[in-house]
Amino acid sequence: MTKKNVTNQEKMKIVVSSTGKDIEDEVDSRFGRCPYFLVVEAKKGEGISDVKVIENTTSEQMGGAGITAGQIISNEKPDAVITVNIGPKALQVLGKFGIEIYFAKGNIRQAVEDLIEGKLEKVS
Amino acid sequence: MSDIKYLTILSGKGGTGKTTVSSNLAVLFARKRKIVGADCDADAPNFGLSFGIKENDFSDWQEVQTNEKAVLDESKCAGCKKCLEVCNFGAISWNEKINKPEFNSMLCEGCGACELVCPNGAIKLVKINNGKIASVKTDYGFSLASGQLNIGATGSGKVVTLIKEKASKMAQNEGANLVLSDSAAGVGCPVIASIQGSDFIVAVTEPTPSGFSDLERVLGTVEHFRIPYGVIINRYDLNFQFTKKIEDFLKKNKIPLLGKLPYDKKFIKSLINMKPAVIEYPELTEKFEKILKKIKDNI
Amino acid sequence: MGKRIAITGGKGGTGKSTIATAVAVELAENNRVLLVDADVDCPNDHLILGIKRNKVKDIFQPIPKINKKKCKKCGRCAEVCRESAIVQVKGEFPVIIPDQCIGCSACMIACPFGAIEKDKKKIGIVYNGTFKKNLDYFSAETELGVEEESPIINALKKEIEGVEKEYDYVLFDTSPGTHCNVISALQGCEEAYSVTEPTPLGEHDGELSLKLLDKLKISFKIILNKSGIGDRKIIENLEKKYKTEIITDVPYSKSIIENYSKGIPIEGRSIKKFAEELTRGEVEK
Repeated sequence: MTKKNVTNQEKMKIVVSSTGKDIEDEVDSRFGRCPYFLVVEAKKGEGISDVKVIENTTSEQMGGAGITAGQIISNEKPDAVITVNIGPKALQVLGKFGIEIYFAKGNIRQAVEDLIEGKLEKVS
Repeated sequence: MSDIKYLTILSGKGGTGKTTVSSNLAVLFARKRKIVGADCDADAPNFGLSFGIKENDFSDWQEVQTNEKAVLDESKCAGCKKCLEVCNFGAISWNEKINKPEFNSMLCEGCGACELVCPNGAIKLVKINNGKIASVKTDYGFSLASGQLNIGATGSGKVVTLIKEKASKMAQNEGANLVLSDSAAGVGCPVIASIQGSDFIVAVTEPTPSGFSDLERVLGTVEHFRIPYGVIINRYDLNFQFTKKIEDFLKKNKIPLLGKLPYDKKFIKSLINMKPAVIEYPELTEKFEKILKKIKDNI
Repeated sequence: MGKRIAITGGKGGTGKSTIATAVAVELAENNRVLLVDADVDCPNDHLILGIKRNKVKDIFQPIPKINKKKCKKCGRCAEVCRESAIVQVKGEFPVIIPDQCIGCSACMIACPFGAIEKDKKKIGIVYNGTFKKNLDYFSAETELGVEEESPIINALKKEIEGVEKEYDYVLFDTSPGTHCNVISALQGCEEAYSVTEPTPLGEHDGELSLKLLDKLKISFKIILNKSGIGDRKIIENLEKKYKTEIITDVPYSKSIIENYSKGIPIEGRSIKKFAEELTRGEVEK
């Protein structure tokens, strides 16, 4: 695991698996089956500038949800993804698009702020 | 919906006591919370039988079509053999007499390579009924989702996925917060389908060389999917030396030991009578309660 | 020469491998026997007999590789892939998810620019070994996480094709159940013995195994393992229904299980009876 390397980035686009539609909701542990994804734009020192909600259409899927979710997220072309845990297939999809993956629990706003301040460790 | 937890019981090796553990845990869980059971062995579904439920007891059998098969329209076929060359699964053979391909549906993976390569559009992929799924209320305070793959059909993993989705919907409708799945033996596609989407895996093993070897394989598979797990040693008293070997392995790898069950003819008798052991022999409840508590601590 | 016989069954844990290995040892007293462990998920025969496995070869499956010089990002490959093994995001090169790929090559056929080349992924290993004079062994094992297992059984069968003529009997120990793994192993066998136990679960799953053998048009008989623990009549009903017979009863005893846990293969009258059945001649349905 290496420390994150996006410190000097301009605006970062971050997707978070979410239990709800609000930035104050919790990071959802089920990456492929979470009800929503929040697409957040943020910059170090400036905080969060935009939040978009995407409904996860694969939330009912029991198999292959990881790939479909990976596709939905990759279409947004984010720089990074925050979730609690992620399966091997979704990991492969995001990894191949060069999207960085970070694990964090709890409040989404806090998790995003931790990421842009360099406090989260990148998942390899 | 995110509040539903998915607990799956696996073993790798058949006959280690997966269904015994699943059925007894289900009964005990159901006494304290609302749950739904799922029989994730679509090949040879046994979970229902452990509660005395037979195929006829399910009233809502519904055909499913998870797979497609290549079908030939002979009138369009020019006999070019391109399909024969392209099939990687040996599902196409050539009938020299009529100069046309023959499709073996048992081997056909429904990939569509032949459909793509045929210059005359003579091959089409068609959805086929490859199984059925259903649900039923058990006598023990919870519903069960089950299924049956058609004999000779492919797609057992996909049918298992549908069974899990059905169980998930039932859980939402009934306000259940736990889906307990009994899976198939092995580490192949039906088992992988049971693992996906689980929050916690319980692996059942026995103190034999085969039991231990298969445990390592099944845990390796679960590790691949990054899902937390624990182990139960069944029939631990058949070979104390081997049981210790397994316990040492678990300790060394920081894998939770959820419990140990003794060899007991009561378990066999219960399965023959098609009643959970904790119902036939309430004195066995304590053993399973201990395991249940350990699982709860880990979820 | 090289008669292929399957030992199979519906329910896991009914004793397929226990019986397959035992009868292999018994037959090898007077015949050249090749034991094939086709339970590629969880092969156990080498553990029961204490055979040292030698790796014969790795088994590979083709997977696609995108040639970025030729690829025009049209997305056609992702469209035709039915296994969700290719993910395409607009304006990006498609990415391959090896875990999902079954090696069908549909993407290579569909690509209008010839931009997809063949790469490969390891899906299993073929092993061989020897137990004693007259008893050789072949097996295969899948890589963990591989969902498509038929190619592994096919690779195993291919290895055997080269040598099976040297043996009198080729015994296939299959996985339990009726899914594609089992079907691949059964195809090509001349006769099959379905192992079951006299319990409701044994009857239910045993019947599924017989139905499959019927469908595959392989002649079959039944071996009743763990006889004595339940009601033999429920399996006798299967005999009548499928016009077959139980050719031997293997008794249930705690000592057999204890020996099994120590890696000691079983023997005895019931196994000798099975071996006699196999050497008697053509099995009539």
